[in-house]
Amino acid sequence: MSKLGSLSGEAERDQRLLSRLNDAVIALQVDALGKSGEFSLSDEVISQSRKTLADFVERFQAELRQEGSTADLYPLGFKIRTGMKPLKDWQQDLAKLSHQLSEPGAIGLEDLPIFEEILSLLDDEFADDLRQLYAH
Amino acid sequence: MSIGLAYLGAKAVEYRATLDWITRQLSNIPTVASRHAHISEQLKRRIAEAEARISHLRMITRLNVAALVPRGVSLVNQLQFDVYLLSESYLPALTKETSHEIEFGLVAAKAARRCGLLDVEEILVSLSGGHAILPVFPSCPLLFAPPHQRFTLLDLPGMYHEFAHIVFGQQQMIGNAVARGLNDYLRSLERAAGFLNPSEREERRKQIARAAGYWNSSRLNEIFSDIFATYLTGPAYYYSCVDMAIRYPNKPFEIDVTDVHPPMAARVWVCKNALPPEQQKSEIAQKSLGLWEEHVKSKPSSSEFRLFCSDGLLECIVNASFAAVSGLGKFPRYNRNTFDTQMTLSSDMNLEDLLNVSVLNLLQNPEGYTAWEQPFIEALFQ
Repeated sequence: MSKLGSLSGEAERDQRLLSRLNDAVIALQVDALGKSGEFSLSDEVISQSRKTLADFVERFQAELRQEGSTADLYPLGFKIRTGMKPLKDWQQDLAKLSHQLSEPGAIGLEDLPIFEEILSLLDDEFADDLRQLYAH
Repeated sequence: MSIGLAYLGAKAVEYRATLDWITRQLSNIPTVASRHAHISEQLKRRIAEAEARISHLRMITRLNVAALVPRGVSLVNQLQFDVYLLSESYLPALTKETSHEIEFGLVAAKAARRCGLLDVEEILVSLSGGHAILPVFPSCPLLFAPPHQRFTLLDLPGMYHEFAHIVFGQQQMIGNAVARGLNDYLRSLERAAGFLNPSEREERRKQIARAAGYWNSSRLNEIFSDIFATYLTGPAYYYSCVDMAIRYPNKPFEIDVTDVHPPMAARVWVCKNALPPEQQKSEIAQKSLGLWEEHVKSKPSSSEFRLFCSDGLLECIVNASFAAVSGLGKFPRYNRNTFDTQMTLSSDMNLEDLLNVSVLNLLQNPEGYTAWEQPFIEALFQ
């Protein structure tokens, strides 16, 4: 009985999501450091990155309210609902993030810890997929 | 520069060299250009995505911001997955491809398209192990099957379970619908708990949360694949699942949290209940049921199994899967209820009919089976 089909399918789906968010965070950090020009990141890329993160935060908030689970965010939602950090704190952080993303102005390094907290959960999920694939 | 950033710089160089090597190897395989143009295109696209990841890695090292090291490590993990797909999976299968694998791939691709997987352009086959699939490129998946599978129909229904992984990966709404159905079911259980004191209520809440955690996306993917394979092939897959449950020495009711596969008893249950009533009455299904009941009669279930894999919960998964698949309107359900063991070779025979007749022949006349299947195998792969 092979696990390859489900494991590699999960890995691909998790990578797609992680890759989009990771790239968006990096682009916004480049922008916050005033180096968009140096790395040829257009205003459109920056604006699209902001939208990518805003859309994700909105979907994630819905997942935590358990309004319409989606297969890609369900594991993340479950981790948070059963984790050490209170759900209320997560919801407050996400509301703050959502507000910052909707306001004009750069998203700076000082905002990184909140992104990091979310992305590290996705990193863990993807790393676990990869570990299981190699253990297969 | 921090040690973390220096490491990321080194990894960018290393992956650049690996991608260059993969590109050279692909260009040296003659069949890539002559036979696998679509696969070649998909692999090149993946290489381009990996190159973009390397650019981001270099961006982080040039920014020289230590706080971004975790984002770089994430890119390293993603690049490792690219290497797994390109260098460790597709490249060996393409390099060692035999004529039997090419023939098998043509039959598999034809069956996949007939079953509604219309995006499948080609299937690369490696006859090197148990049934498995790498569905990451849904239009040209890499299918694994045992080396002897090119010479027998037995166990071939397992290929349809692998097709289902392509569908689950490609149609995210299926996973969403099944996860939602399960979530609603578990919440209804919590509400229907009746009169419980606070500690009993808390205990019940914890049990339900464990059940929710158990049914992660990988397990839903696996159980959906059993349901969908039954949907596509009818009793042939049900028999195949019972056969697998008996062959593999697993405890059929054991909840193993380290295995992405649900317990075999749950898998067999969903296969039986995914059959329409008329197919459940077929000789193959009746014999499979008898075989299964005989197999588990002295094996006790457990309270954990009854919570995680109750009939109600499994029924909810079957119903949500069917609703999602029907909603897509592109996958024809296998509806035949009767099978003729005297089936003759014809140009319009399809593999799903053949697999059902094959199982019936095996169950009715095992001694004559090998001689019976031989001409069908030859016709199928000619």
